[in-house]
Amino acid sequence: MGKYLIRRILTAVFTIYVIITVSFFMVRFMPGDPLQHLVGQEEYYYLLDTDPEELESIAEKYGLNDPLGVQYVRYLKSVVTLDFGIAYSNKKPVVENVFSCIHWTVLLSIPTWILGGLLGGVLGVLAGWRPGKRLDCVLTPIALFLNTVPSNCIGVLALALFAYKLRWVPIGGMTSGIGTGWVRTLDILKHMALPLSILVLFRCSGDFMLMKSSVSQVRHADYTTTAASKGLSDRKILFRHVMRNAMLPYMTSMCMQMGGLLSGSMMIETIFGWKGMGQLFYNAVSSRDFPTAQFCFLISAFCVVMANLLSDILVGVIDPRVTVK
Amino acid sequence: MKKRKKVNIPVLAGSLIIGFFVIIAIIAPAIVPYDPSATSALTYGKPSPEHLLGTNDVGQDIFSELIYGTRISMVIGIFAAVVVTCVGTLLALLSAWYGGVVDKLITGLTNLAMAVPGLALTTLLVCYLSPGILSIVVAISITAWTGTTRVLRSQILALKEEPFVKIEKAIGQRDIVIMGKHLLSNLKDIILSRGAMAVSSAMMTEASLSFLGLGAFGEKSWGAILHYAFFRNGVVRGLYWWYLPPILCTSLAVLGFMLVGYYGQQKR
Amino acid sequence: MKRALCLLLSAVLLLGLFAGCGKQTTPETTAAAGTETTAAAETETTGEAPKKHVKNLVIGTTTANTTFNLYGQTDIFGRINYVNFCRANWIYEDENGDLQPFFFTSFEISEDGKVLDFTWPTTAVWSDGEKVTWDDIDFTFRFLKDTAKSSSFIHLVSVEPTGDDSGRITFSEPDVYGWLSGSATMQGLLPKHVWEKFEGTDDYKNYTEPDAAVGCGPYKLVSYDVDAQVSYYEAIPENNYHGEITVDSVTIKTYADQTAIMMALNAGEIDCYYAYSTPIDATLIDLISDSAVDPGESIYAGEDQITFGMTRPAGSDYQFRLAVTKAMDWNLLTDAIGGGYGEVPRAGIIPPSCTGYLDGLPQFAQDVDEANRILDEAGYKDVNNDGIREFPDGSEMKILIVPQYSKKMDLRNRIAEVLIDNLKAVGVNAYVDQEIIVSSEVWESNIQAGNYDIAIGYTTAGMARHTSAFRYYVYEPKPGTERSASWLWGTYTDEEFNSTVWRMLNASSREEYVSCIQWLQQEAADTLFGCALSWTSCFYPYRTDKYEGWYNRPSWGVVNDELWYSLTSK
Repeated sequence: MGKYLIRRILTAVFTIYVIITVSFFMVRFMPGDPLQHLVGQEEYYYLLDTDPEELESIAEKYGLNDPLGVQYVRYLKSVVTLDFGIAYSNKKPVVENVFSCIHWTVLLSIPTWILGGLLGGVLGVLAGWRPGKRLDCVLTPIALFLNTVPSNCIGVLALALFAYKLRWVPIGGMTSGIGTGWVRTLDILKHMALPLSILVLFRCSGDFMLMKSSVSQVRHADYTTTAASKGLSDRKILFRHVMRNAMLPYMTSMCMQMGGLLSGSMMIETIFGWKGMGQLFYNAVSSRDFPTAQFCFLISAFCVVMANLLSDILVGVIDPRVTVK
Repeated sequence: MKKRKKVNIPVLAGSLIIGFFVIIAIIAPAIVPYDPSATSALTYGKPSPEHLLGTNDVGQDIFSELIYGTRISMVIGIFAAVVVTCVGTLLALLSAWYGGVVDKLITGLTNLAMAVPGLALTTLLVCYLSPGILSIVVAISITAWTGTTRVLRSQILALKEEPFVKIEKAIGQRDIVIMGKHLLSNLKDIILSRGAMAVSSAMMTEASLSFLGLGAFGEKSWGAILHYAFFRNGVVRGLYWWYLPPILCTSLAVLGFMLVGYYGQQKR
Repeated sequence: MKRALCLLLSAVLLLGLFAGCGKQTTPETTAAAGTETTAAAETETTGEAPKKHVKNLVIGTTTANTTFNLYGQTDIFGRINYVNFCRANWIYEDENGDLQPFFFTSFEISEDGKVLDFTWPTTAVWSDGEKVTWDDIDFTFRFLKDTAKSSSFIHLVSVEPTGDDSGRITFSEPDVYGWLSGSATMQGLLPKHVWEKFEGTDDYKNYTEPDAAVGCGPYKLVSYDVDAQVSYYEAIPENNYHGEITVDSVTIKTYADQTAIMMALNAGEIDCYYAYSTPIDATLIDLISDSAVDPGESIYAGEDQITFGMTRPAGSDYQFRLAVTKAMDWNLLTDAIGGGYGEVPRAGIIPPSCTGYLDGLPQFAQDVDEANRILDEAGYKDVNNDGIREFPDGSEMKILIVPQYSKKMDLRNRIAEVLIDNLKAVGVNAYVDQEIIVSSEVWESNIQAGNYDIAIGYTTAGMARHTSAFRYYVYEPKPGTERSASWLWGTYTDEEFNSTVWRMLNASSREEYVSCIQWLQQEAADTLFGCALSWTSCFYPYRTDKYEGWYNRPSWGVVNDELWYSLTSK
């Protein structure tokens, strides 16, 4: 077990290192003069016109003129010390920028994860237990359909219908900035209702299919048949045998889903003007804000690796057979 | 017997949908009423007998755009899926058949690729490469092959233990022949269904990317139509004939491939 | 067991939600609030017909509400200081483009254009309660010259007091007018006691401590909430540079996009809209559903424009350029760019709201037959009968169109689509090279190299106010400088044209500026080295039900330097 753990952890650390390196080179070689994005287009040309030395000194300050190796080592150092420099876009420390939006993404993604997981799981068990029955016939096509609609399409549709047409919900943003305490909480809830519902719907349909397939696999397993031949009631078989065994793959994939908590809602965030990690990343990429894009990317990847590690450990704990391999 | 017929219905429906779009894509030039890039003074026009789905912000006929969009969206989806499936299958074969260091390397690579947030990397890449069909295909493929590799690898590992494979190996049959004759032919169904799934997910990614405005100039994919409908304020102004059709087309096409992929897999 | 699990999970969910929100429930308050000023009390005593003050004006914007730095230009704080908000700018520009006193209570430029005499208000206070002194003025100019290295002050010789409330600034060159009209309207006094620690360093730009917002404008920052993207300001009655301040407090709220702004205006959540050089898109004006909302239409000073590649075979031919302007669907362009509110432009490029606009130049109009005739006569014939014209020498003609790269280039791509289609209608094959518009770097190197037949660019209202669209057509560098030292996107090599643009940018008086820019407009009409694509209206909508005294300044909207003193409650 110990050996297994150590191996898993080492793999995770190595994976993170590779991702860090890859992200450095990728972002560094993106087209576009970083200097121009650093000072802003209009200001850039103004300075170029009037004060080119100033531009040079800015480039110097951000280390854009150093050789790649030097930049790489400095970059590794900055990753370790969590110092990603100043964001090109608003001149604030990148880490501060990211941490000021991370909780908004978490606010969307944790409820999505929990609600989607619970709802999808429960419905999946019921549908998988009685395949071909009414529940299955109704839910499976719906879930399949939801899996086929790109999230941006659903987002646009929901925005057009509920926000523009029916005016049930505010059309974007996270809060109108009114009141404090309860008033504010309610206000935020109102703003998150639509994006959250869409995210939950998607997550739920995905989890539903997952649970359904793992239940229907377990249903035909030997121990289930044995239990049935012993004369156990359906309910008992369902909860004692099927659920318990179907739960393992479901739990591990729930664990792995945690990795997408920070990066999974980019599309919805962009459409609903939700100023979370996803939108921050998208804006950073499109305005070539290297430090921000890099940090966002790394932190998302870090989450994925950690979640995978967690699921590996979980598997190891529940099913020790895998650890001996 | 009865049951088998039942599960085939979704596959049939899916194939019909796919067939429909493929035909549209092929005969597009023959059935469009207008050149999709032809502009006219009628901007933001409502649906009318002349313009079935109205016109967009520079007076282009939306119906014609949509028909041409079928081409781009299908080409990207299928092209990317072929790449993904080929790469995925090849890696799975190598890793499962040869085992050892090769297996370790490929499994490691798979784990690594799986640890990267997909859409984020794809977005980064499309910005990095110049926009266009090819770069979208590359960006989609680079993270999407992992699922296929994982599934196939475990299938091949199981097949390896089958007697007929063992016998062939024992009589010194060349690896290539075993792979082609026994492994691939046995995995044909699953590869095809993984391929169909890959098309659907590639089309979804493409829709997202061109929706974000990462497509090429003047390219009339469904995602690009929706991009302009959204960012040129067609959606907020309730011009549903502009934004609804590309959404429906994308969903329907993805559904077609999904049905084939999902139910095709269960058929066995 | 299952129920317990559910309960537990829902509890976790609720807790998570509150943890998320709880953090924002207390708006952060800056230390800026120092003096106890109540603006309303002050005016009660003035007697004669007291103006009905606006208690709290709510301004909506789409610019971020995160950074508060008096020197900076980022975020809404930096942008709204352009219109004399928390910063007191030296002077301001009125609706006619004339320079008017602001922080300088009066000013006079010497005959030779090298000396500025001014007076300043000794009653002014900083928002942290300190008094504004001569030391601050002296410090600010030194800071701008030595630390910020502002190009306006390269020739600054001295800044000296000439009395208790007056001073004199001397330059070695006639730079006074250039500085005043170019940057003094968006530049103002810095508090020495805050900024002196940055002398000789670069750190002032990223300074975000609470006192970075200390200014001596008519308002002070009282509180802000980054999560909600709201900031709150109160008037400083002592700083009544332009008369009595009639708006007691201001709230600025940032919205996700312009659509949200329109909804908020309809709902009465905000009173008006402000964003520097970013009017509401014309396609959103239909969304006004409340009769109390005025669209705030005015003529925009900036415009989208095209530049011909004058060093390449097609662009160098006047007949070709003329034919292109005849082939273009001007009504469609105006619709696509201005949403039906624009106007087909005239040949002088810059629109009527610009300083020195020359009236009476010919207006463009589409005439496809005429375009075909001109091309035929000029020798662009379809020799090989493939439906596409060739160059007069029979070689293949492909017209390269290059839209300017930017983060959001939807509109410019659409314009390119229209141009390609219009040229196709007269048998000219035009295309966009995808490789050129992948990044600003690649795009710019192509533009600098003159690698285009038709470039689509734009001039913002900010550029238009002094620099003007003509700067984009310049080929020769500023006299006395290297080509590489500047951005030169034009290909019009005419000597008189180039020298006139540079003379205009260095004008030492308004008269000189106007005479230059009028010559340039005439030149544009005569040679067609480029043209505007549309003269559009711009929209800065506002609500008329609660307040009166709005003045909608062209290109800027109702939130301008005069708002704080003119708006009253109904």
